[in-house]
Amino acid sequence: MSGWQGCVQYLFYYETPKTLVIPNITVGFVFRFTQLLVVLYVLGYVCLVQKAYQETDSVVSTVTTKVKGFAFTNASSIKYWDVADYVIPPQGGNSFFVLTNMIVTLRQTRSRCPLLPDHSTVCVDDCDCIEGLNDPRGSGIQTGLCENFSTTVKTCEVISWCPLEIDSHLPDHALLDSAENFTVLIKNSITYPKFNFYRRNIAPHINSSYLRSCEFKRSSDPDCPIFRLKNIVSEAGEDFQDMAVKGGILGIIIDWSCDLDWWARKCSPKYSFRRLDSRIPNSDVAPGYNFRFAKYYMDQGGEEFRTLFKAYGIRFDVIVFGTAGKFGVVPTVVNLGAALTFLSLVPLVADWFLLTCLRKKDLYSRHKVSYLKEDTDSEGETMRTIFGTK
Amino acid sequence: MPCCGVLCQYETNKLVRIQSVKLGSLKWSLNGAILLFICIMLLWNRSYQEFDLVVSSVTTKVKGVAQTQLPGVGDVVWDVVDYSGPSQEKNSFFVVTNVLMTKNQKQGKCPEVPLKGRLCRTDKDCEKGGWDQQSHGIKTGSCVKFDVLRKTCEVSAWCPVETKRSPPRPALLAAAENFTVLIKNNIRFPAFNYIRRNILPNMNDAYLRSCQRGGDPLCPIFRLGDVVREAGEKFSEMAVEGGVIGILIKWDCNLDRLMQRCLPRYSFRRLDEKESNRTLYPGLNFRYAKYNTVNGVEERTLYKAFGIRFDVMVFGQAGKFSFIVLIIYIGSTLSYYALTTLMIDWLIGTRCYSADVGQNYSEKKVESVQDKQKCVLCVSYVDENNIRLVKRSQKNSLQDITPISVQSHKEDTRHLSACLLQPGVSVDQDHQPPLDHKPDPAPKSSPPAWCKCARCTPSSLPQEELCCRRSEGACIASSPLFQQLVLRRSLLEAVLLYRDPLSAPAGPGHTALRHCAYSQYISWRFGVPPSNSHPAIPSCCIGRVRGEYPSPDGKYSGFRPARMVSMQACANGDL
Repeated sequence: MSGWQGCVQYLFYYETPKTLVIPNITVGFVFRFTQLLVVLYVLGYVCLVQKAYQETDSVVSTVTTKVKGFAFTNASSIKYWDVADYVIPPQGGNSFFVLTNMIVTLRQTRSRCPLLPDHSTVCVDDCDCIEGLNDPRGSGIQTGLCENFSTTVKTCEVISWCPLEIDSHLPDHALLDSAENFTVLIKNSITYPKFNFYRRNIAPHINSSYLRSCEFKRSSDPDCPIFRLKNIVSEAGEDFQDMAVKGGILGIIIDWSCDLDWWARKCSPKYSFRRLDSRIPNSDVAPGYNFRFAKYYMDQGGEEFRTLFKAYGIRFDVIVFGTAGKFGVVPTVVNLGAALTFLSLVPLVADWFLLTCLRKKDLYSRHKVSYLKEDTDSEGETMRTIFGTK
Repeated sequence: MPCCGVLCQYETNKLVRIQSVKLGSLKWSLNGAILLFICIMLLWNRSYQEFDLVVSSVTTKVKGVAQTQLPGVGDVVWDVVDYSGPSQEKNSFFVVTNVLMTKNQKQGKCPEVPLKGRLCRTDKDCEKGGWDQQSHGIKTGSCVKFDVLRKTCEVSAWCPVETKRSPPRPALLAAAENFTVLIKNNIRFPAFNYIRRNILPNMNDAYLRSCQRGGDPLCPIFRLGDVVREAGEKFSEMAVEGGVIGILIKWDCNLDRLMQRCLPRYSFRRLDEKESNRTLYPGLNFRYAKYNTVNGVEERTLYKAFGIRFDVMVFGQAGKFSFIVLIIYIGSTLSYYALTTLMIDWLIGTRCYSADVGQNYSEKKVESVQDKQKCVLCVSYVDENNIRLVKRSQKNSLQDITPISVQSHKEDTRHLSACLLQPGVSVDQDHQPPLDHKPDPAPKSSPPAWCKCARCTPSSLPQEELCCRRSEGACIASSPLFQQLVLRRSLLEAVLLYRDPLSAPAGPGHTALRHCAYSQYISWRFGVPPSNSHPAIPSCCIGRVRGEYPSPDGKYSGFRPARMVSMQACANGDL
């Protein structure tokens, strides 16, 4: 009964800790200064720098690209190159390859021919060649015969697409050197699904007449999504003509880091360019970027033949990344709570300072700490009347 | 006990408990509100869960056949291989809806297409080797007939050059609207090792063959026309120039055992800009070529393919109960309860709550450690009903200092009962009449400027320059009650005896009697003085008491409230 009553009474108590006021400039300064530090940390670092009150989401994006340009070369069966020829694959997704240099092997058929001469393929007679040998690094299956490669050298014969490709002489100057003047239009549409936020890299205020004439320049036209390949490469710190010879991979990096709060609603793409494959000068181990592809034909007799291209070029990877932040209640609650906890630690620091570093620490600790001994039942301290003692 | 030291001690905060229904219920309702808020946030945002982002793979399969009438070719049947474009991309598929074909192009020379002002009259208009973005080839330097009326510069290029610029209307493969696509989406939440796909376990072959999105939102087979329509577009219009449609698959999963739910939600959206005046090259198109040789001469057929690219975007997250996350959340929200105390303390301090209670409360709650440099004096005037707290100053006289705060007078009732309600003491042994006016020494010299009652003695110390009243008027020391409460010898002796029953009767020095008279005055005029302040006695009263109980050598210690003395001594008003 009494316990229950006590409970009810407890409901209507208000309890608050006793406060000891210490009018001392030093400890007051330490207290306020520590408090200020915590508040600065919370406001400056947690809120302003880290934006810990925000929920974040990462970007989901689609990219379409469109390359424009025309190239001319004398050193190939095809003299005039347009988009359909040099952009592989042609769709224009987030990665496109612009062919700049090539080794063309015309009119290969499935037949027999002698291997290219090197120390393992040179032979004197048929005994040097093993029938059926399929060297993974070779170009075909050996027939076991030793044939004349030229008037002086004999090599083993293989079944393969013949004549074999001779890729030792890469043109020193890129065949499609005018590719540096090609332009690419990048259309990028992003969404932050958590915030239901959609945006395109062509800003709403841009119209088509501006797009027809503009070109991306960091200083004057930072919003124009049309890039000249030469400028992309030079912004990445490379020389186009150097890179065009052996190829390479170049990243077009679009950064969509956004602050979607209404007071800071600014969300525009930032472009940057970087070479992604490692470029070690004079490294012989598979430098640059190349791949082979072939065009297949039928001749009148119904026999299939192909033209093999070893294509060197620059692959442009459009890399879209970014995180968006928007005010969220839960991160705010959690971080504010943590900040409050930090603030409640401040008196501990001030107490420590008060009780250890000050000259009159004994006086303060006498006031701050009152001892209660269990064996003395009575009240430890009686209130002394402090007036009229004399 | 002392050997225990720090280890055997428990330190706890001192509490001030106010028994007030109002404050108690306010505290509980504030706590309840905070708890409610935290719980709602916890449940609403599932803050007790650990979240993981989806990892997914997508494969698509488009089905459908369309027949078109191509100019110059005749009826052409298009199946998947034809209309899907040259190669597949990751997470996306392409459907050709419209096409411009230029057949049998050879490397050679031919007139350029007349595009806005590209006409020429003579060879001089055509610069040899000239080239720009829009042209199809390199100018040879001659001007040739394009058709009957117009002449254009000749270019070296793939000839004949592509002449048509705009796609045919209506789209050639508008029938692609009826194609269907099966999207297979396998997802994984690596943190929970949870695997699922969008073809649910209960979907069998027969279901997949017959299901439609209209009837079942989980059906993984979509008609392209429906997809475009749900994206808010018209397929027949979009098919002309192409575009990009996003198929968004959202996996919002709850993996807790009680409420397990993990189903995909599909939505569709057009991703590219459809208004052609806002963008360059609206829609989506690309060119590709098919090569062949005729008599050893390389030829190609150039296709400009317009179509719709469908990008499948998978996103989402799964949440599962995590004890650590819950603990972190609770831990960081616990500190909010400290706000209740802060808020109520503030509320009591302000005027919103009753001022009396606030006064009482702050006295109980706040204890001040008096440092030597601060000594607050309290002053009471006979013509004012409250007590002023003033800071001591070395320059101004105490009378003129503006108060730092004004407090109400608190009666010490015990004093009253001791002094007034003891008739035996107060009346019987009193030889002096209460209204006995002794000639005072003060009126002889003119009173100082700060004196309002004309009975003060001039003083060199500013802290002694205090009168008993603010405005001109009679001195309190001349009142009969002053005589009765402060000066009466019998009362003072009784008080001294009360304090120390065995003390000798007051000697000729009068020191004890004088000090007792001071404390009588303080108890009378100040009651219980505000804490941490030292009552100051007006100069006129000091003069009167000294006149009544003079020191034999004529030396008095004077008013020294806080000079190298403890708080206790300071409070005594050591005079």
